Amino acid sequence: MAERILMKGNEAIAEAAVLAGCRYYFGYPITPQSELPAYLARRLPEVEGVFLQAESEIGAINMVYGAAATGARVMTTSSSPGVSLKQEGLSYIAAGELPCVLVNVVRGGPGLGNISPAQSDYWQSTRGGGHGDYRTLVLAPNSVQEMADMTIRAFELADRFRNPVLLLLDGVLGQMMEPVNLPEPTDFDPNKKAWALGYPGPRKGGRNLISTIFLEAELLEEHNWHLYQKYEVVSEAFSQGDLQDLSYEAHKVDDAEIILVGYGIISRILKTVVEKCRKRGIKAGMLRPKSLWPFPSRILAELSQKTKQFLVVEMSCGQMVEDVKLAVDGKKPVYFFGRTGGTVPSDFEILNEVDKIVRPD
Amino acid sequence: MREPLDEQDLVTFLIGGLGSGKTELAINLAIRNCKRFGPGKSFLLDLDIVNPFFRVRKVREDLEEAGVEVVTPDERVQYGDLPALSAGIWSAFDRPDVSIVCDVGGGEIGLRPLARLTDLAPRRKIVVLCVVNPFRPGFLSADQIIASLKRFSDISALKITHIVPNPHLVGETTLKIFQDGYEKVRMVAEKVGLPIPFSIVSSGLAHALGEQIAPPLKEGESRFVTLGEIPVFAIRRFWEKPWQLGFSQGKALVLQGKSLVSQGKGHDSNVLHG
Repeated sequence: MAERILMKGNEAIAEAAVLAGCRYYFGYPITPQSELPAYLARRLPEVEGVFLQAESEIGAINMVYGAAATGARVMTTSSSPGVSLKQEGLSYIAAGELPCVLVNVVRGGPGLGNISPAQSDYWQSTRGGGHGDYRTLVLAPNSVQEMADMTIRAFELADRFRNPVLLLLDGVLGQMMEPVNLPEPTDFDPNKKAWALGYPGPRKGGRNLISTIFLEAELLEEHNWHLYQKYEVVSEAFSQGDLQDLSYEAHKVDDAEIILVGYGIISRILKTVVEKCRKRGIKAGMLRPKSLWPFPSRILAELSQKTKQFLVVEMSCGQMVEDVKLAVDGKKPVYFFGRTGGTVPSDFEILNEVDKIVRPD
Repeated sequence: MREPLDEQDLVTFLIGGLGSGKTELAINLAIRNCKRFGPGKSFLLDLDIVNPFFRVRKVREDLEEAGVEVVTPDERVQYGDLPALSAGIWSAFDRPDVSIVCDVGGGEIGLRPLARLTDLAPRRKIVVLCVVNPFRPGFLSADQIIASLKRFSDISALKITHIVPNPHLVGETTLKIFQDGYEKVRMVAEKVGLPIPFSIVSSGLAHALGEQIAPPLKEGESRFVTLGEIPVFAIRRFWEKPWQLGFSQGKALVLQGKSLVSQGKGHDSNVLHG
């Protein structure tokens, strides 16, 4: 399917999941992601897949747990309050080292909040979200094309690291329409996972078992350190290994006196701001984390040697700014500008902030 | 040239797939009607129960400034994710002196509220335009378009009377993309025996086409024109960059809520650098 077509972000993820070999979807509707299950409700039966609207988000994530244990490619999607409900199951999936893809089309919170776009689930996404010592890989696309491409990558990463992978969007990305080239279908065979339940090949020592219960403290500690070592491998692959292309996008940072940092839809606005700054003679650049966990700390640390300051822009009261500060480690000032509650900042107001920082008088 | 849909007592329903361009057409058509029949004589009714993000509500202010009467759900619930219709739509239907454009929600679910309006047909002159963008999923081939039209017809309580091609890939649309897409929809229309009153083109592209458009358009102008033999409605597109929606004249965007004043809060890292 090389033809260029016009898709909503939510639709692009849904179709890309099918192309990635995802044949199981369990979810529950919530705005602003409902196009995603609506699309799959029609599409999955066409490829002999299973679409199931569960009785709740909690039901859906536990169905994902079960399907993932068989080695199948499986996905669930939701929006903020619904993703909160899924956290217990997500912790089990991470503990059981099962691959799956979760999509959060973030809306305004906390509480019931509203249905407008937000980025206030950064902490929940990158800090585990559920209970226990675990990590979730978090990818943050900024265009409909990237939503399609990163969905394919997300399924690959999930299988490679046997870990849940989260695609973190916002209401604008989920809803907006852009032309897209759909990726080629992936050649995926669920029967090749030797650890999975029902693996048809030879199994040493009888049946496979997926369990997250470790009653003896030493055994659980061993398991947790095992998970930790895996996360180290993941981090290494993003910062110095073969996944660097998924880590960040740097735009005009080489000579920048101020580097704007933002992910997702914010980065689209920041690109405009960078152009406007440069027209005014302000050397601005942009660093966009494409992966939020692992976070591109290494490049930020490097840039802190070159630039004079950073301005982090988020649709929250300031969450990712903490990771930027950790990476910059006090070497340069880190400023913050945020809009929250479902508002999207304008290039105009961000430009004002840059002015205040760069030309304080 | 007589413009399409040029009757003051007409009720125009716009239906089509999700993201086919109904709302943008609705806005442009209502503004055209207002210019044509005068302020207070053009009503735009929001019947969209499907997608609370891209409804006409957000451009309500601009529309009302232009003199269009906009009927949307009650202000108190307008940002709620509620499948509510305003009672005001029935009083609009009772006024034979006004032209009415109804923006119906996308896909099959969006058509369900039309069942509530079956008693309208004997009372008013109605057209039901199905907007088709042949670059959208579900509408990519003639077979897919015909299947979608059939599904819409099965559910809709009102009969589809016209097809309106809206072939575009937002900012990437070229004349060739328009022509290829138009041709695909035209063949479908011929096959199912429905007329095409006009096609949709963005006013940006129409302006860029210069003298191929008759009469030529000024930049940003929205008007019925012709492209060769094809009657087209050059419309203002509102959602090419949705994250900039609402930023007109440097006003801060508030996708929700009433404030138009920038309230962003900045804080610096004095803790680290005090």
